[in-house]
Amino acid sequence: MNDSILLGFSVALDPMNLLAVLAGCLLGVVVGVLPGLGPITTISILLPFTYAMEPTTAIILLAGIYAGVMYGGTVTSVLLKLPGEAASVVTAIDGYEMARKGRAGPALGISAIGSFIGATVALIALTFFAPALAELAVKLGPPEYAMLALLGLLLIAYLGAGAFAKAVVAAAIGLFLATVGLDPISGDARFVGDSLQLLDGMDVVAVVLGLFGIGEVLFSLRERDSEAELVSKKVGRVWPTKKDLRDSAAPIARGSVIGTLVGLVPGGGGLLSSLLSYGAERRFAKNPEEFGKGAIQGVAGPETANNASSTSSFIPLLSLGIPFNVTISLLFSVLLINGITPGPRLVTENPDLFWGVIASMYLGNVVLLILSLPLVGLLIQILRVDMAVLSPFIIVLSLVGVYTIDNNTWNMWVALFFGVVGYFMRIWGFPPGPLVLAFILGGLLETSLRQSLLLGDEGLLIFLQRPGSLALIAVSVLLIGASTFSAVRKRRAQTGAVEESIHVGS
Amino acid sequence: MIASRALAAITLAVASLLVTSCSVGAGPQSGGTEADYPNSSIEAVVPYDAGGATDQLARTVISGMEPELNEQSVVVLNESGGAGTSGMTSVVNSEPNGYKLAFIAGGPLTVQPHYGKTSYSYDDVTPIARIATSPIVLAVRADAPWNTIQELVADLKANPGSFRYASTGVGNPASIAMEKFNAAAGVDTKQVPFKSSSETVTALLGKNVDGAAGLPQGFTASVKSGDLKILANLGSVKDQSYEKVPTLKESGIDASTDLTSGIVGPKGLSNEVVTALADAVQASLKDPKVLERISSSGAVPDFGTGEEYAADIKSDFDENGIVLKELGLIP
Repeated sequence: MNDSILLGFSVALDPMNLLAVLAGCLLGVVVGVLPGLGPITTISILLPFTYAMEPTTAIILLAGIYAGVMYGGTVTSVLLKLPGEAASVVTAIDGYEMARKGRAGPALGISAIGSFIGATVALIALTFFAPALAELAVKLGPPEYAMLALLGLLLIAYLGAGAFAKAVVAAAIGLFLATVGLDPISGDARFVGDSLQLLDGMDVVAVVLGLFGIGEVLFSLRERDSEAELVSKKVGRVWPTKKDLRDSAAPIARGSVIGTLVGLVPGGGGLLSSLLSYGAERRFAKNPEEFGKGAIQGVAGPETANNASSTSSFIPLLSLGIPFNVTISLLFSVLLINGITPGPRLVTENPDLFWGVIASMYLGNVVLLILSLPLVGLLIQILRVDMAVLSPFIIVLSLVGVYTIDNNTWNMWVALFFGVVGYFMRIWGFPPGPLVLAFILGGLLETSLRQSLLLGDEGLLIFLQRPGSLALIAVSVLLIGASTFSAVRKRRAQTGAVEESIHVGS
Repeated sequence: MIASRALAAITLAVASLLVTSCSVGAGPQSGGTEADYPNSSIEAVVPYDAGGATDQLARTVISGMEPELNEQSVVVLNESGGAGTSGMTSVVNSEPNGYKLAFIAGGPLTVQPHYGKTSYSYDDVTPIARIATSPIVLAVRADAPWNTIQELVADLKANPGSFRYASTGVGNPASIAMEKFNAAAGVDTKQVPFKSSSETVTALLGKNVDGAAGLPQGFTASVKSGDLKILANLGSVKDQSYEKVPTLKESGIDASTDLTSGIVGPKGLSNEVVTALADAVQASLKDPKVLERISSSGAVPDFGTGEEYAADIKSDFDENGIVLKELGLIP
């Protein structure tokens, strides 16, 4: 094992490969900062150039971009409530509130630290346990995904401040939106009217940028003379305090584990991992009432998780030859075009590629940490820019970003539509978080539930017969039980106190 | 304050200009006659996501086409959405000047128009050249009890409905291929649709299904590692990586489903342009590097002229219509 890692570093330290790591990370951060422009667009633009490179160098470059985007996406989420890429949407909740309180610096700092730790944990898992984890990924089938989605939906209770009933309404809308498009099992078109574009359903990036980015801009224009104006002037301290670090330690640890595991779920990826981490943090927090109002735990956990998941999504690629998300399938195609088939035999057939890429990912992580910490002080100066200048820029950048999803104007209209929806949701106090969560999980839940029914001969027994799904059901039941119990006890305590005060009064 | 309002107005104006210019898109290339075609870069629409099988094929073939086209670059544009119809629509509606083409694999022309939602039909294009043909194959786990398709058919006749296979979606080539197999062999298999070929392979490896149907490329890694084997070739062509597996017809079952990839342009392309592009494809398919890359994806290089490709499209369109009707997807 030692020899292999040494071999990896000797490959990664080759000048060309080192340059690829640096260039990839830098480019990734820049692209990540631009809203809507994600790793997929960037990598597909660069594909023709990679054909001229050594396959190892090409993969190192692209992996660097992927990691860099995950880092960069945080910046605009915190500063402008504009998710730089989909996975950062959760950061836009508490990160932005922190920025409003003049704590943009600590929010960005803790994201950089968390991202570094999360990605490193996932890398260690990739280095030492890849085959075992890949085995686990394969063992999970539709019944487990269905139960995982159900468990995820329970997190709605923990997403977004305000009335629970409104969160449920938002989630219901999200679930409905997830059903638009082709039925995943029968292939029938649902709620699409005459629109061809709706056949594929709505793109999550367009929905997210509309609800959060454009919706927020519209809302801030309404409030421009009061609140928003105030925020944009406050910059505050740059580094996290000792207390911030203490508060973030546990969320970062949990985020690393959640992210590494979610990266193994097909189609899971960044956004799912950060949403799950956010819900978990709010559940475990001693100060749940702080969430949605600028809790650093709500930034540290999800940011850690999304970087861990993007790293661990390399596990199924490198050890099984199965790409679980679109970005990874782009890397897959680069390898195939170079005549290399990723899979269980990659380690023995192309050890320099396998270990070289892993070693360069360790280096990339360090590069990103060094790159992003000093940038924090510079980036938060964006807050000084007048909203009147910033707002149109945000809208244009978002629209250009969503245009690149499939080089079609359709998604621009989707984003604008959800911008208006987001505006009214904010005015009427409906949190957008649960809508996005339900929108993502709705598709996963429906598809995997119906696949499970096909596998289990139309019976529900299959969910109880499989240990994985049974365990997930148990966790859900415990979670509901515990919340109900504590709610009942709280109410009793309150009524008890009231009765006592009546007694005292009389 | 007034200054910043003015600034805001200017930025908004620039913004809206940008947005509208996106929707107008590239206009027809000015100047030049067909004799010196091409005299500027060509836009190659791939109506699927980057990284997919068709995208890889397009990029590979293009690398060998450019030297034949006055060294003009052919730029890939991934215009995905609507199961390939979004990019297809934009090519059908473009100026027939040879500067906007589509690289497709059947679906948008031979399946989608059946649903009656597309603004075009299968013959609203100028077929330029067929590039490659790929069979649909059926993979099972390496330790599965069947070694030939006949053994599976015998088993299925004894235990009807016992075989579940993963497909990449109802109405997709994989599901159409299995429907044809069912009908021809007189057996019953149960389909479990997934979203991507990766998910079908995972489901098969994880023993959630008994088989998986799809393009050979998705199974290559797992076949190499000895986890899966190709049980049957549901198509009519073979690449060296699965040449020992007999096709259904060789096994006495009268059905075959291939996925044909090629280039089409908008209706009304001149013969000069079609010939120039077809010659470039043919030259590209003689480049050993291009051939090797295509073969590594499991597809079989299979040049065909515009007329031959047009005939393929028509027959696929008709056959798919029959299967989709049987599946109950169209009236």
